Amino acid sequence: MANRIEKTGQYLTFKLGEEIFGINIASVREVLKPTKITHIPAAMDFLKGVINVRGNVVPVVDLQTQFKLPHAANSQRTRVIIVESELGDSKVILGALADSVDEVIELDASQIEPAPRVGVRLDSRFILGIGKRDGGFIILLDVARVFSEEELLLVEAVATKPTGATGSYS
Amino acid sequence: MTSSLSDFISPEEMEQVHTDINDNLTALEDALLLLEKEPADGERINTVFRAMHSIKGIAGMFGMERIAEFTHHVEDVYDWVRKGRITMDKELISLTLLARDQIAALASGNPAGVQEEELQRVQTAFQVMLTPAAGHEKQKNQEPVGLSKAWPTEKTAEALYWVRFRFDLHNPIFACATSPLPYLNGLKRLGECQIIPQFDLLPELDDLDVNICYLYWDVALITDQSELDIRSEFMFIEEDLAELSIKKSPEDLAEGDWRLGRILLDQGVISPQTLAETVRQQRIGSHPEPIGALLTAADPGIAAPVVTALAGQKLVKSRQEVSGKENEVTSVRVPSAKLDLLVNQVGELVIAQARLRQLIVSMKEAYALQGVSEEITLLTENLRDSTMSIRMLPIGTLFNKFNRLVRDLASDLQKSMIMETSGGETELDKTVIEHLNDPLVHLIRNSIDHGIESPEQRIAAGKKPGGRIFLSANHAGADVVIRVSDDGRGLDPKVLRAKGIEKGLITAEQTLSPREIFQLIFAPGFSTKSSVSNLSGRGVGMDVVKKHIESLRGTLHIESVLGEGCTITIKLPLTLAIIDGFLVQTCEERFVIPLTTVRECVRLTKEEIDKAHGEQIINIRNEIVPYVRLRDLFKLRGVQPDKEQVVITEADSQRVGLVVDHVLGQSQVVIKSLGSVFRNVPLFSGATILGDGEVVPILDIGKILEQVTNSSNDVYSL
Repeated sequence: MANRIEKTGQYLTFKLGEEIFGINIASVREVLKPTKITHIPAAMDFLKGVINVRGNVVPVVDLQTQFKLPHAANSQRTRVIIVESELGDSKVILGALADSVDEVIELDASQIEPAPRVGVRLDSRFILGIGKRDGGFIILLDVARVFSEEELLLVEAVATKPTGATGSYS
Repeated sequence: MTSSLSDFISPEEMEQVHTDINDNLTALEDALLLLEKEPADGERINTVFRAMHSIKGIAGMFGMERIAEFTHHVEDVYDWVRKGRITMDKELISLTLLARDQIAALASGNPAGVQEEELQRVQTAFQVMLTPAAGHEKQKNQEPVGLSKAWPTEKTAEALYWVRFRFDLHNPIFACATSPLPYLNGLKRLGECQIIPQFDLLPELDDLDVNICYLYWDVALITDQSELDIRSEFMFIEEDLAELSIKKSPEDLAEGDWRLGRILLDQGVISPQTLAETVRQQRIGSHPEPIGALLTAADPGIAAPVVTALAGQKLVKSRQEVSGKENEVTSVRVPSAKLDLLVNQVGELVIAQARLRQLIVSMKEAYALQGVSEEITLLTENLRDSTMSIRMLPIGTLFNKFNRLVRDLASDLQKSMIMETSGGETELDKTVIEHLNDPLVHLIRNSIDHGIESPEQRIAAGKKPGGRIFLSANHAGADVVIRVSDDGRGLDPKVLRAKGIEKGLITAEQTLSPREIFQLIFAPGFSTKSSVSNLSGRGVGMDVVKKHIESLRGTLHIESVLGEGCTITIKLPLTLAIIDGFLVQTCEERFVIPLTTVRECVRLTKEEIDKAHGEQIINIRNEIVPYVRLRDLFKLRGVQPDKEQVVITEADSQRVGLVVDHVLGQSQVVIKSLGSVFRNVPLFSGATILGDGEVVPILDIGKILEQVTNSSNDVYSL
């Protein structure tokens, strides 16, 4: 599974805990202050719930739970990044929680390295590459993979407790 | 392609051309299918001819040479049919249907769809018919065209009958529990009618004998049945219990003279002199009064007959309007995309308006604002209803398409079939109808392929050789119910059970009710037909149908009696997007329960809980209803209050109580999909945005019921 490395592009950087992440701004629709998140019971644990964005119901993903990263406390700077992703042949709009959102930066190919196999807590298949800037590292996320349907369902399949009737309602 | 006008025509115009051609092709097909049943119907033959003529004209004008040439031959043949030189028979109809398909393929402009050989063959077949030596001109045996024996239709034309029905005044009929209602209802079944009770025979209260029926009825009835048929409705009472007078109006329903004076004259209520006198009187005054008023003023005794006559007149007029309307359908073609946009915008308006209303309600002293808010609420609701109804189409449009399907399938399988429909005027949202097409096609295919036996088998079973498929649609509450019935061999629970065990869906030890066994059909990969025909039985069918229906938030049920047939019932909600919601709260979370599922709301008292001895059930007027606490179902955290509320809900004729902390009230909600991300959380059918902007999930009662009844022993695992 070779990581695709995008060439020169613009990335929105944000923080989850102490780590800095980036996603290509082509996928970013907007950044919102968090409103009340309606928790949907029985959904997977990294699906924090849904919010209302101008009359549309948008699911919110807690990346830190999904990636099993430590949580920082909710602060004034928490934001919801509304992301557009291709799921199969349809577009899906999702929100991702971020502890803080920083800025849009430009990275060109020379500043991006492939993700190392070890040493990064995050599963490398989510990572487009590692961006280097000002001596720091930015973990560039592959939006399509992170929010892909298979990904979300894969997690669910592992999480399902084996009961007598799997798939009895689907 | 020759360079022609078509090179100079805009895409929009071309689209219009295609639409016109398609309309003609549809009219053509419908007429042909009807001709199969009644080959001598001149009107329909004309329709076919006209359709061909139009298509030829349009094609010629817009450079579609091939179509023009092809239709030319068919048109000529039908011109001869019109003139009686060629007779209609089953072969010609089949050929013409093929021709229709060929024209459709040519018109679609899709080269892959056109089979040149087939096209030639059909064209030659028509050309041959036109050569004098062809022999098609001689009289063929008038075989009953159509795949079933032709019905003896002895319909006479419709006419208006005046019926007077009076019980014998000396006979205490009520003492024997005789009632006029069944007879009046019998008349209603014969056609449209206006029933006018006459009270002039009612005596004073002191003289009233309660067992005698003093009322009598004048009925104006439009029916195609004969006088004998009408009289036979009263067969049991006519001899000694009641008097019946039936008079048929000589006037033609469409063209006749239905002025009040004429009616009264025909009935013998007034004389020609009286009528002439009154008409003269009417002309004198500066404000002409209605004839009825003048006649009654002159002779109050005829007030009742005038009322009856007016009722009959009204009946005829409304009938004339209806048939007039059928001929001139004024409609506008609108691209569906625009409609969808409109519906979405109205949906958003409803949400925003709800928020506005909520804000205004909480303002004090804002009376003027509240007044306007109420008005806007009403206007928004009306707008919403109107917009929804624009998208509503009668399901009959779908049913009619199936005529062709049934015919072709039956003839391929060499079975004899009729398709009957009822409730075609039932309206559904356009997208729902589109989504229903595939499932219904599959169900019909199944019925014809697996359900209906061959004519020999049917005769052996004592049935009529022709099988019958019955499609019906009707509104039931907030749902539409669509049924596909056949009178075939039905489902054999034993065979299904065996197949279920074979496929590993159930174990041999399990005992299942017939209903549960029938549900096995919906499991993926299930198919009991031992040889796979090329129509169905590939095993991909029924579960896909079920998923399809469920994606429309509908339900699917099968009933069957072995040897008699099978009925599949589809229930769909009428409105896709907006429902009445019942808002409840547990802990800090709010939920919406669809109001259509809510039966009642009771308090859950300590006594009730104690009485149940540890079982989560409640006694409602001697019916045991299980309940589940939403806080348990969804693992919500919060203190359980002493007083809880139970909302009794019902789905699929089963009830379950949902225990909540608070009941907040009811409001209309716009349904929003939760998205595919939440696909595996079936307990919610969607979400909505309340007036305060917060998102609230909508509960799927059917799924909750399933869970409660299936895992009543487990902790509610999800």
